Amino acid sequence: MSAPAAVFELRLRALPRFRVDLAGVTPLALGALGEAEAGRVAIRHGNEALALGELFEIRRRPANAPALHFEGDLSRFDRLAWEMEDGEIRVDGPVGHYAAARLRGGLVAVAGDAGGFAACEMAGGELAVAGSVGDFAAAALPGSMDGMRGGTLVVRGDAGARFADRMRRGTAFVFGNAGDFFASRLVAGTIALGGRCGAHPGWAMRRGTLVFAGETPAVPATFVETGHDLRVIWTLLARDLARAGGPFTALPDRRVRRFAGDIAVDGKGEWLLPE
Amino acid sequence: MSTLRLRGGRLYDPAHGIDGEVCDLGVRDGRIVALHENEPVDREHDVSGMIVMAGGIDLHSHIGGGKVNLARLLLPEDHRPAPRTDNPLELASCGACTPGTLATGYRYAEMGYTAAFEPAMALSNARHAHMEMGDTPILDHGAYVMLGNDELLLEMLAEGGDPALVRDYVGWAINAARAMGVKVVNPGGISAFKFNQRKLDVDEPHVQHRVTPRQVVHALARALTELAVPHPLHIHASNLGVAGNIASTLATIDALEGLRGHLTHVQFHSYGTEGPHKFSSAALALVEAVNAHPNVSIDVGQIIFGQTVTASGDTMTQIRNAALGSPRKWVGADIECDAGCGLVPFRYRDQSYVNALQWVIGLEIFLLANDPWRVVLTTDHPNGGPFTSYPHLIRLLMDKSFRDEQLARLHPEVAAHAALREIRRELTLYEIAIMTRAAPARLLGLADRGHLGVGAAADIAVYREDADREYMFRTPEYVFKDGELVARQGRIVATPVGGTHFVEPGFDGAIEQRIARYAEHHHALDFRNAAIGRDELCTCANGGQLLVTPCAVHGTNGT
Amino acid sequence: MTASPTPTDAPPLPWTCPFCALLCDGVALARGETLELRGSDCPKARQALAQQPADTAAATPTIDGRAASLDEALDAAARLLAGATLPLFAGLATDVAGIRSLYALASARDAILDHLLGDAIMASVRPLQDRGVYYTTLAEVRTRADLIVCFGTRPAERYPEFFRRIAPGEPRRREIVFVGTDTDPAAAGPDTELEAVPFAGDAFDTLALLNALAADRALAAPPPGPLAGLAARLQAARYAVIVWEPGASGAQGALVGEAINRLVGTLNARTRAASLALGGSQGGYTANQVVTWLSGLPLRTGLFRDGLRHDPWALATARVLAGRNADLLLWVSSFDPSATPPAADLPTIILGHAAMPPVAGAPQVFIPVATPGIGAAGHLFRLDGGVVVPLVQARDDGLPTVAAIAGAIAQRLAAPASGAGS
Repeated sequence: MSAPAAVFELRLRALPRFRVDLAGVTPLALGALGEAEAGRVAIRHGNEALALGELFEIRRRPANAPALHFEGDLSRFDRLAWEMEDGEIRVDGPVGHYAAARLRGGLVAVAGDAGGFAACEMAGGELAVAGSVGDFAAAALPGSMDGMRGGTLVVRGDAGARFADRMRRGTAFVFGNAGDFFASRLVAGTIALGGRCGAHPGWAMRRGTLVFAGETPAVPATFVETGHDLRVIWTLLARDLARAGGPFTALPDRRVRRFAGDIAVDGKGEWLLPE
Repeated sequence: MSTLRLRGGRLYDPAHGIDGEVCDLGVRDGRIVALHENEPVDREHDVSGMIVMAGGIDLHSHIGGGKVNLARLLLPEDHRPAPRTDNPLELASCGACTPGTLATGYRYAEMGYTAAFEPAMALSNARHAHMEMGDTPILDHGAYVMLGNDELLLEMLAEGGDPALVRDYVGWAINAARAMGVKVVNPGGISAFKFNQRKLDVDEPHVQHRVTPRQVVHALARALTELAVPHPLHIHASNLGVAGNIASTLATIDALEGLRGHLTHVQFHSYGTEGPHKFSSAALALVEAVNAHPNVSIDVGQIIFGQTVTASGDTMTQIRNAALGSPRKWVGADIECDAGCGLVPFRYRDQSYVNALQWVIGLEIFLLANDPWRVVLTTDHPNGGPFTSYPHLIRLLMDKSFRDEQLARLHPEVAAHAALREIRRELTLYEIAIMTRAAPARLLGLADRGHLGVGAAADIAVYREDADREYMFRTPEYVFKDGELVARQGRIVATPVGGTHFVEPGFDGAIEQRIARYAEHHHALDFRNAAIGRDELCTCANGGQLLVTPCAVHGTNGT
Repeated sequence: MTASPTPTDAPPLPWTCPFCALLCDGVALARGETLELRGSDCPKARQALAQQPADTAAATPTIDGRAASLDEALDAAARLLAGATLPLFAGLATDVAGIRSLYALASARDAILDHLLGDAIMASVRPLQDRGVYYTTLAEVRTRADLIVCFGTRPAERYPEFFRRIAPGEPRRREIVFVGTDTDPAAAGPDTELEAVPFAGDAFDTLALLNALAADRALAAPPPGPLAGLAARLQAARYAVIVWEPGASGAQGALVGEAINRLVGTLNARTRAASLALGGSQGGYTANQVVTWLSGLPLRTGLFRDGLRHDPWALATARVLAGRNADLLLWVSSFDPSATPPAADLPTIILGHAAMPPVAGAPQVFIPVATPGIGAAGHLFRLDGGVVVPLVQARDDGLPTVAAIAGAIAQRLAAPASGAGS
């Protein structure tokens, strides 16, 4: 119980032949283990089980809080921090698909790009990606009714298609551009976009808030401008979003127009278009 | 030739009035035989102290066909995660409320069942249904073809319903689909919904054909009687799930006019309108009617709390239920002028007044009915809950204190007032053996299944006695299928292909001209391909045995 | 076309055409040196029949391009499979028996399963997984539909007999509306009115507007007249059918299907409506149905050693190959000789159409197989989902079925000693 927390440094030895599934390799799971024991933790490589130590050089040092630091190109490593409850994982390069998917708590920071389905169905905690994310970030798995359900996603680069598809709760930032069907079928939650987006943003969104801080997208025919006085609410929201920095810094200084939609579905979502 | 002896088991074989007698059981070449006690055998198992029953027979379980596969497609999240077993005999297969056919066969066999019957085979989907059942390993299987919403039959009834014409048409359809019987689902209602009719009471006319459910039920029951099909008309009555539907259910019994009929998943059809929620148990009224009508048998369709998916041909009902579904998604279809299908995921919650009462009603029916030979244990898999919950259900029926514990957890109004609290009855092993083997076999006309008499197929389940009946019925010590050991302590040890049960009633072939003419104007399949031949059935069913039950003139519903 | 030799005097064989998912079974084949279609002018069937080699004796298995006996090819295939740890079974263009047999092999080898039309199949499956659908079948359309909306598709282009198959059996008025395309003369018929309604924007904008209009929602600006008219007719129809084509609906085709089924759901609150998704040729819906019932999950599922995982995105053939996340490709293509395996620098086993051109590159085993409905009987699922149509053998061309080959490979894998001699 009172085992001292540890930081594990995991340096990739060589690119693996097949994709590797990192589910289960979390700070809490490794925390109680020694270096050698951690090296024997089984992970899945293609169809085969492999010891963590075969792929990574592992060093353990005591620390105040449990953490994993990965070094190397992890673009063939999927499900980093899958269902992680707590702790911190840092990756100094790119990671594969499903990074921080179903994350429940803690922090995941990726210095490079993340693949598809980053932060999908994430329920809490934070994923920060310094590079770009692939398609379906913060989205739902096939058949699931909800995508991201809580926590914070920060993408400093670009996002692929279907960003935040079916997202239900939480806050997501894209500093760069987003692909087609940005925030498709959004259920709720708040998303701020710093750059421009592809075709059909907000397609069939039911509720939730989209803030377009960058290029103003064309407003579809199934969104309707509302004449509400937004000053108070916008001030609060804009100040909150501005803390993310970058393209969002100046939001509190801009005036905003509000559109409601998508009336093709429930129509209770909103677009906030700063002028 | 191979022989087997189970030595010293305690036999429960209600078909022969055997109630826990200690007795050896002999098997030769897949059949039960009388072996001299000193006769050497190839294999012998000492089962002294254990309970020996015929293999379980589920006469109403949605195990194969279009709607079951749609249910699998609808709920990929029901199949996550999906670990593989470490048993190399098991091919990869997964799922909880509608597992893949492979997992369905393994899980049924593991708990001592050796046959299951798909109750809702659309005529146009019959090949598909037989394929899925053929890919359900170990279990023997069969299906009831759905009639009574096919436009041709409704047209015939609208014309006056010449009984000879209807009989021949029904005979043709049973043969064409290679069915074991006929099921009618919301008589006329599925068709009526295609014409945008949203409700159909037993004496209300179909908006297009002007035919009533009463006429449909009676005509089909009469046709089956004349064709001497052993399984009585399998009836999913009008107004499923609707408060107050006990009236339709009693009217449906009345429509039989003494002809045999099997009312299926009656729990869903035994609702009153009393009390503050205008939703009450009508189990007593149902049971009194069943007790008073020896021509009627039932299966219960018990609900089990948790996630499942309701799979039904009844589009009229399912479009209404869709708003209550969880998760909120559903599939419906209008099918080939003969059927429909509707799938609504459902989560039964013990804190829901309605769900809690449904749970109570099912158990009340089981425990109040006085003739177990006319009551079959089902959850209407997957509609009330998956078949894997049978051991739990058996414990609820056999163990009053366990039942009371569960009852106490329900919605407080139900827990406080249910008549179930006062019912002290605990079903015996003998009664369970009737409801899960002997009665379904008899209701299906299977002379050589569901019992342990000489000549019967050696489908046998051997349970290690345990006061926890759920544990006992979940993991039999041995399960034999046609004399072959297929499961041992919950682990599959052989995966033979099951056989297909069907009937071949005679009919006047002249009816084919009428059907062909109808098909030419309305169907989308050449009439040449309308019927499944025996060889084709064998291919569809994956090469399993063809098991024909004869249609002979039979006596009354057995007691 | 020059006059072909007169087929034999034998009466034409009542036949089921396997070459698109309509599976027309009211036709016949005249069988001589060539196979000739009777009872239909379907260009697709004629072209496919013309591709059937007259002499299949020349079609032999090959190993790395060299002719081999069937036994040698089976041994080589078994060796490749035995040596693979992460095989991809793709193409999967075969019949029910073929998929059943391949599934057992895939389960034994922990393989990933996808179909050559996997993108289109997933675009039809995903709306069902995410929100559900309400669909209808050909006989219902024939008998009941008074308004048929072809959304973004001219069905006869890929399903030439489509309108003949849904023609009413007795005189009945109906309208067929083409949204986003010109009207198709193939849809013409007595008592049938044809109309074209242009997209307002693209398919997605149009569906958004139709959904808003069908639900009587107030729009900011008046919608284009023809679209408003269509919405009103959908609301007034007794039985409207919206036909769409997942394979022709783009990368986000699943969203088209979802929006169409939302529209159907809105209409079904007051009147009757249903959708019909055109797809599933080359055994596509067959593969999906069979894999779903056996495994519990649809195509693009990996039967991985530690569990089954359905991932329509990561387990798409193209993504698996591009990411080099497989070490063997088993490619099955028994209907169309041009459906060759995608370029992959992997050991490849091809169970292919006898007329499939040789594929250069990676080490490979090629085994020519019978086309279901030509060289072998079989069963396929029709495009409307639940109807399985029997296929008859048109001629005995001596080619083995996919089921037989997969079974023979599985046997060799179960008893590896048998393959050691070659």
